[in-house]
Amino acid sequence: MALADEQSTLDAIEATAARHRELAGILSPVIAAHSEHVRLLAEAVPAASDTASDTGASASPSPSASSPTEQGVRRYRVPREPQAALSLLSENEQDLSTSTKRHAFVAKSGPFARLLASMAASAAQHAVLLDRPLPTKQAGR
Amino acid sequence: MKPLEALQSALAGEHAAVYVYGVIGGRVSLSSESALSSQVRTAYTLHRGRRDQLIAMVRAVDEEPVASEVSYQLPNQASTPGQLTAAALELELRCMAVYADLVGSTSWANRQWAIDALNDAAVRELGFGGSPEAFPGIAEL
Repeated sequence: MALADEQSTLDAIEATAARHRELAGILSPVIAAHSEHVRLLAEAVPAASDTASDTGASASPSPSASSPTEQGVRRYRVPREPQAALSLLSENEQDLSTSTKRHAFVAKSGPFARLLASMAASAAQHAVLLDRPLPTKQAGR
Repeated sequence: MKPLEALQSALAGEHAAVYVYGVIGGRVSLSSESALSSQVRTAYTLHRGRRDQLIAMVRAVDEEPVASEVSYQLPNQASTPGQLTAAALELELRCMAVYADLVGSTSWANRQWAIDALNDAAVRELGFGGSPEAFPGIAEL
């Protein structure tokens, strides 16, 4: 599912940003883009048809303390070295781009295919961006 | 948009891209701007290939491919390296919009072609100083 793929990529980037605060300048725009993707996909995909959740507004009585990690989202291990952390995210983006292109190919609606192809291209851009070497003596830019 | 209409406008975009890249390529100094020069040459070759593929795709549905104009307006004065780079960036952005429309208007092999072209242009754009976007090729988002 495109939504689940986007969400798990976003989770990984956020986990990385939380662990490596010095990467905020690089990661913030990437987080913003994926948040937009997730928002649009959540609107586009009818609630029932995705495996991610039953997003019923009904009050299910489980005030879970562990927030985003429970629903089948595997815990993401952030590499200790910033450069390695970025490289791993870059690989994630490449995989996301590939899977989203596949979703775009099979999408029944033309407008939805266009949207997915654009998201795949966005992920491909991130893959390139995150693969760039950090400036030595990272000044956080 | 009908599939044929989308193919023809993608082809018209490629005719313009081939022309403008030809002009840019003639103005980039091979000695002092060798990186830009090789990027432009690669882009020129690639867009020429795309143009020829689109001609074949239009012919495959028994239609007459749109012809190239005699000349095209350059996006700017295109004399300094900065202007030449900006002109190349502008071309890729225009092509991305056309490819995204093509994704939404076609299916099967033609859609896959457009998905890959959009992806490639989104990455190429970064090499010409473009910034990553949340929705490459989709102006209204």
